[in-house]
Amino acid sequence: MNYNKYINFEAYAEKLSCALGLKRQLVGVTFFYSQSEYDLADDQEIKAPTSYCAMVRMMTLGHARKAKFEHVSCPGAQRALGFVPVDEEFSSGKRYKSLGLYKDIQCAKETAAEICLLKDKIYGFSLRPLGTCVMPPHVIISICDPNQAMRLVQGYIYSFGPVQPMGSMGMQGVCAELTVRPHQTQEINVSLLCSNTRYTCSWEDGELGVSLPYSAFVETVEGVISTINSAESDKKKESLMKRADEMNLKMDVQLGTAYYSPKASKRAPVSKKIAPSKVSNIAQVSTKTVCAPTKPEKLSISVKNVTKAHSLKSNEKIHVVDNISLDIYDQEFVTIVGPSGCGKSTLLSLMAGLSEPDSGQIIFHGKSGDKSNFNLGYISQIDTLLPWRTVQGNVEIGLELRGIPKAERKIIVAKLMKQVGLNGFEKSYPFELSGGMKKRAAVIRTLAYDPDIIFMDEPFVGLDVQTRDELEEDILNIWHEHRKTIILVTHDLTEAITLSDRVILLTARPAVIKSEYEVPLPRPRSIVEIKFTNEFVKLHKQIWNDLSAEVLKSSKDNDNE
Amino acid sequence: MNNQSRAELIRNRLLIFIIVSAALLSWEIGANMKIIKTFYASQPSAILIDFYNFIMSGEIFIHLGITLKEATFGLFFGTIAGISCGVILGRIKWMADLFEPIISALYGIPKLALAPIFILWFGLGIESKVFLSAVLVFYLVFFSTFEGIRSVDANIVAAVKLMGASRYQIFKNVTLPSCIPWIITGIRGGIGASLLGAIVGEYMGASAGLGWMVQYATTTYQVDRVMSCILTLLLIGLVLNKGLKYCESRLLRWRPNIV
Repeated sequence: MNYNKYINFEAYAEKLSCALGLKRQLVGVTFFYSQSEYDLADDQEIKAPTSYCAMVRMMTLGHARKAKFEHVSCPGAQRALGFVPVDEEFSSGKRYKSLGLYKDIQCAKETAAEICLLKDKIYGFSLRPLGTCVMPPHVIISICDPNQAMRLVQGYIYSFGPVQPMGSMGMQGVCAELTVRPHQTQEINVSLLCSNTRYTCSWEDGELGVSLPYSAFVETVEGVISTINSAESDKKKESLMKRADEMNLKMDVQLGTAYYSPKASKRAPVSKKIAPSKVSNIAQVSTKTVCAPTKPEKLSISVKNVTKAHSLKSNEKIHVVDNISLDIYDQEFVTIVGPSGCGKSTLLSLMAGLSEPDSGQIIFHGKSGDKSNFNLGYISQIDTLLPWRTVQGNVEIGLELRGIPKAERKIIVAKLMKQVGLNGFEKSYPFELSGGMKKRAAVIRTLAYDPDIIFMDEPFVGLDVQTRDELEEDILNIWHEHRKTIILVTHDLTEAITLSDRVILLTARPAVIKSEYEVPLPRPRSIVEIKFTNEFVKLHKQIWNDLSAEVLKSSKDNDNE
Repeated sequence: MNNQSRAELIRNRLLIFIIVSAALLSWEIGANMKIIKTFYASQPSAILIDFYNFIMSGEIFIHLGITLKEATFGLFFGTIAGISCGVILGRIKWMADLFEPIISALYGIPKLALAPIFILWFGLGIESKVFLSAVLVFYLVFFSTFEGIRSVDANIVAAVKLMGASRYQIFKNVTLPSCIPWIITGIRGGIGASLLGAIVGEYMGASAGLGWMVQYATTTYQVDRVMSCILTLLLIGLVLNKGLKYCESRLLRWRPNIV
């Protein structure tokens, strides 16, 4: 084993920062087990009691300090770092239960047992930017964005193989999850940073924490660089190389080595993973030139042999939906089209649980599986904003119903309002808004409470073309950012193709699935440009042909009646 | 408010002022020229003098206080009962099926005709007038609340329900706020009705109050005093209406046109 590289860790620290493009410095945590050790360390001592995470934040900006028990101000870190013994109240879960953090005592107890607490008694610790550490630290903390975190985890796995599930409890982020856990398990760990540190230390929204035990550090850095070579685009690599040049570093990164780049696939064809088609009647549209969005295999909602009839006043029954089965995947954008009056809206309301099917089942594959715990969003063509609430009040109602505190609601709502350009209208009432703005408010009202599935029933009916285009653009952006499962019903084929991953064509009443079309257009899409691409035109024509056949059929049926 | 409508407002105010002054002036002149008999109709100057005396002697406050007390209690109890019954019957279908016809049938009785009965039941004191006021107010508020609850937008209810709202949350966040305009309409009518109830009750039998004063002054041919009382009632009505309008504009800011 080459021990030299373990001593030369400053160089690896630099390499990692450069490879990932880290904005913050890596922080090395060193524990001191005795007073003499502590006194020997020549770091400045923290002056006033500070929370542990605030100290770490300070060091990510380049400072170096040491601290002992009396300098740690937060009880969470005092416990996590073993400065205060764990009492009965904590280990029994009573404390967490009393704070209202977990639903019952059992749950609180199990969580309390999972929280990583330092078992060895320490006297103090020092925190330094990794590059300035004299001795190898015990643990290395990186506060980074999700991309960088992913790369770090992948780099670790490259060298060490799969890891245990990440120990992120949402509690005690920097102290327990990023310091104690990697030290104890000697494995990488990711933390989403607890709410306390998120707000008191004001980490940016996109920041989270990854932490490594020192023993895994060098191999992880090597893994990171290797996986960058095989998985990142040339564009990313170019900016990385530029960074390396500026820092005067030699990085072992080559262009054109990504497994999906054309050059690489010529040398060694890598089988591309594309979800198998679910139906036989797939559109014959070429997919070879475009990079189809890889579809997550997780099911979101399944429709199984659902039938529904409406009864008329004359006691006659009309079969609207006839034995339809359909699987929709997580994060998929599916559009249902069909001749008017074919039952597409009925199918949607069945899926959303607004009405019950006569036979068959709708199955949700959520976390709980129980529909009542399942968050659904529904945007209909009619305006259902509450006229007596301001726009702000309307958008936050879903959060309010869930008991989210006011300050938090405000943050969420402000962000969404900005996203769709409604900022400045917080205090307006719905009657003061234009049709398009109302629709936007309705869309973000649904997004605000973060539903698992959003149903849209011809949401843009009655809006002028320009507003429609803008809203479609908004929906595309929103889907891109929030990655929801969205099921849209429309009669507008252009809208259907522009927005979705999959278009489902229903027959005339009673509705059955006539065919399905995968939309092979790459994302992110541009509403205007996409309409002029060959794939779009081709697909549009094909669906249009099939649809008009159905429309013809349905009008014939009506004539016969 | 733009300039044009403001100018229009001022012009209208001015016109109203001119019309009213002209009417009062011709009354005064007519009385002085003995065209109008002051014995029956009095005259503005005499009314003003009497009104002044009425205030200065402090008598007005005793009577006004009693009448207002009766009307306010009547309005209060009538509104509470009206809203509660409206909400309960509006929400629970079998209760509505059972009680709505009964309440409607009782509504057919002219309530003022019941005043003597109430005096028989509750005596000559304030209670009988409060009860009469409350009954008048109750019907107005009840019907509008009931109607309001029934006309809640089902689409909004469905939308909020889908967001995961409980029955109570739907009631609090949708049903109640959407009823407020209806309830206000009921209360607006109720203010007038409560005063009416109090005054008529006093006519029937009382020992104080503006209604009693009117009755007493009429029988003793003090037309000036009758008119002073009517003037007082007019002013009270104006103040209450203004107050309600203000409340309305605060509560119903979310509606496009508040008339």
